[in-house]
Amino acid sequence: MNKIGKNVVLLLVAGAAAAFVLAFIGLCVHHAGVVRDEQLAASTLRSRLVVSLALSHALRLFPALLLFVYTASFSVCFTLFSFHTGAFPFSRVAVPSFIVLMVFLVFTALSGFFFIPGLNKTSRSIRQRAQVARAALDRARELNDTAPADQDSSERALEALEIYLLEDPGSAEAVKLRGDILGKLRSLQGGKPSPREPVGEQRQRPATSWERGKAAYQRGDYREALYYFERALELHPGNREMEELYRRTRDKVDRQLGEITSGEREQARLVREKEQALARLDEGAYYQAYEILLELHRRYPRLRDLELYLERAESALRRVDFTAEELQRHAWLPGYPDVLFFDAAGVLNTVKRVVPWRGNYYFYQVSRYGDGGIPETWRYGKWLDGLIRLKNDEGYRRVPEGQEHRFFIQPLTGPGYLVLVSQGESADQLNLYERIEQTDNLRKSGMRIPGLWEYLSREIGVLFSVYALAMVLGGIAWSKRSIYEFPPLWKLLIFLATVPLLCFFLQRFYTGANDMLIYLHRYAAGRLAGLNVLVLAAAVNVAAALAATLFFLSRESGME
Amino acid sequence: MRFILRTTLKLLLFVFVLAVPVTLVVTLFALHQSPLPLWNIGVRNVIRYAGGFVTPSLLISYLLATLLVVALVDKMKVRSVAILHIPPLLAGALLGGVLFLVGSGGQDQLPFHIDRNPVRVGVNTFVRRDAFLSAGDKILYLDGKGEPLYLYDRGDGSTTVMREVRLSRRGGGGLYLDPEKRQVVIHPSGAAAPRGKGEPIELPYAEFVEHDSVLANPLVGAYARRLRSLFLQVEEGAEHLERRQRTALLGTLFLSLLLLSVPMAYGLNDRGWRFAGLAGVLLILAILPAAYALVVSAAERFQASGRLPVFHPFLLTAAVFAFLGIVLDLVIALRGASR
Repeated sequence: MNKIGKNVVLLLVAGAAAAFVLAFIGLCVHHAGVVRDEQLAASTLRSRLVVSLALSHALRLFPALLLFVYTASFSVCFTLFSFHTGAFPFSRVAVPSFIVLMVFLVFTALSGFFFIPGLNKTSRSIRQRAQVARAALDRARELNDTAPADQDSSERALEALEIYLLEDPGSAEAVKLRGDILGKLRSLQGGKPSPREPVGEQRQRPATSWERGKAAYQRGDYREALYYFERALELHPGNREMEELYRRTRDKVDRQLGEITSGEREQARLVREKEQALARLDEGAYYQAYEILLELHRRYPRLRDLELYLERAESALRRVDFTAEELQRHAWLPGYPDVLFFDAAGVLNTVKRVVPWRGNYYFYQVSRYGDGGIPETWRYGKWLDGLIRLKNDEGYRRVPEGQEHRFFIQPLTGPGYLVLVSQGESADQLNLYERIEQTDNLRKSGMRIPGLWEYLSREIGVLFSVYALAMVLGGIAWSKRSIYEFPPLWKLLIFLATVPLLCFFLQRFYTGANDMLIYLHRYAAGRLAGLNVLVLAAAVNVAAALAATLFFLSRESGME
Repeated sequence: MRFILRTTLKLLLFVFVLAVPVTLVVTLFALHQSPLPLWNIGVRNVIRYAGGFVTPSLLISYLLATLLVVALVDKMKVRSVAILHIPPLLAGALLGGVLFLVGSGGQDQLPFHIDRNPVRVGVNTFVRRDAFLSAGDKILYLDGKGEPLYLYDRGDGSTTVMREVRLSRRGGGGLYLDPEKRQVVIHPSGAAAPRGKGEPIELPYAEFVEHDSVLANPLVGAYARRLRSLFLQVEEGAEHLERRQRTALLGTLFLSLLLLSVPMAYGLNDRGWRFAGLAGVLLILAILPAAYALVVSAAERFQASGRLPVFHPFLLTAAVFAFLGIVLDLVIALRGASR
């Protein structure tokens, strides 16, 4: 590449970078003011939010910035310094600037399809985290101020405060509050360490069932040891050492059982019921196993092995079911209000509030409007394996056969998208891949989101606006370029004050005209045998781009 | 003479090229002020509404064309800046004559009259099908086939379901518009509504407006508000005058604007850097409405004080602008057409 070409590339790239950085800094200042008004609790989140908002905004402004850089370069920069010394043909400037424009167009496309939606998603996620942090701090303060202080409220306050501290670990107020709560807990427990505080023994807890069983046996917790040995034997059947220790434990447990149960019949019944429960657990019939074990645990609350088996059954059930307590525990968390969507059966579902929390989605006050128009309302719902399981206050309970359609909602899309359905403006966080994958389902769910072809038509409008206007403005600027070594200062100031605005509005008017074209497609489609909107938009934009290219290429080296 | 005719022709060409986009922009500006959802107003409505803005749009196009032509004129061919005033006057006379002949202004109308053609709206203008639509504290959903209609209340989380939706009918259950109160009314009679919710639900038109266009930009909004207040100020000042007086005064006002803007654009036109002229046009457009508002207000205050009762404020404003224009002309003439 010749020297002129190199300088053109350097000027355009450096100019675009400088314009982008300046815009980014200005937008950081602007968004810092806006975010300050939002009063986010965690200061670390605030700066992250400001950066992501400013970056997204700067990327949205990038097409207009690029137009300004091209106008300024062709009008002023390509006549200064080394450009001023010798005569050179227009092609020496036109070809490299065209290639650089292509590179910038790729960047614009990537930012429109991926970077901007990604940043929008990040901003919303930070806002959500900030809301959670704020709610957690408020809850911790409120629970700590509860009089008289009790262990439960102090533990819940500590739990909420730990959520806040995850986002803002350096907060002096939160650290002081933590100290207060821990002090209260210590005094409530009579100086014993809080169960939440790390204890050396807990950290060195044996890892395998066999080791845990041995540890429990040595402590004299034979029921617990029995549970772990049974699990260890399931994994290592025929292991003599294990079998021997299991037999001994069994003897000890039987002796203990004699003390707990009133007679041999009851003892036999307990053993039989426990075996039934274990058989159900092995079969994967967790609901039945849970019912038996729950009943046994109620009758014999001191039997540790039953408690552990019950926990095992519960842990299996948590994968397919939930309890109302779980949702009540998370009800204080902020979430998405008024979520409405249609499911796969075409039924309208209204949810008063959806709370996303650590990979789970909790639904509160769910109403379903079927054919009759009379709603069926459920207090709670939880996203489980692609479905929303509904229930009122009951615990783990199997759904009656043939009634699955009442107890489950089958949405058309994932929970992360579902919460956006009745908030149409949230579509700006979907990238190209998500648009391709989700648009149809989101539209069926009731979201006001443009169809895929319409979306692509809008995006190519942005790309062509950059291309066509850069060609036209570059061409005009070249024809009317400065012949001074340095242009008159006050006119340069007027140029710098007005031309960025001109570029911004021209780019917006071009995309606005493209939007009108998309709108007019509804009139044209009937007459043009269902012409695809993307084809129409592409044809018109390509025609505009061709005209702009011809205009640009028709420029000459000499001054007009 | 040849230069004058060529420049006049160029100016008229610019007016015709700019007329359509300027009319569209002015119409959209005006529509944006009304509480109507622009996204679904329909092309026919836009065209009908634009019909009422032909005269002011032509005047704006004419002013813009004048500024562009003067800002880009080849200074080598301009013997005197005074001559540069003639092409805009010729083109203005031609346009004014055409407007007079086609009879755009009635007996009692202002020369810059705007026919506010009513926008014909229906329920479908407001209610989008097959998608949730947020309106105030309600969320609506109307099926593509026209029924059912779901109306969700954000306050209590209840939903009204209307199985048989009758559009554009008053009373007796249905969905209709009340143009007097400018609101969409949903009458859920016979619908599956929560208890005590059978009364009509009234949603003002403004609840359906979405500000997602370039017109919602704060800068554009501020400029549009300035133009609108200026226009209202002029309209208010001229409405009590007789037609002939009104025409003469407003014509003088407009001519004074030309008298000022031509030397300004010419002064910013740089022979060595002609893009500076284009940038200068933007600057003139940005400052003119503010300058006009300032002078008109000052003239009104001056006249209200009774110190110069003979003059109408517009005449005073025109005099101020004409004086400034002549001073600029003289400065340019004295400095010569340097650069």
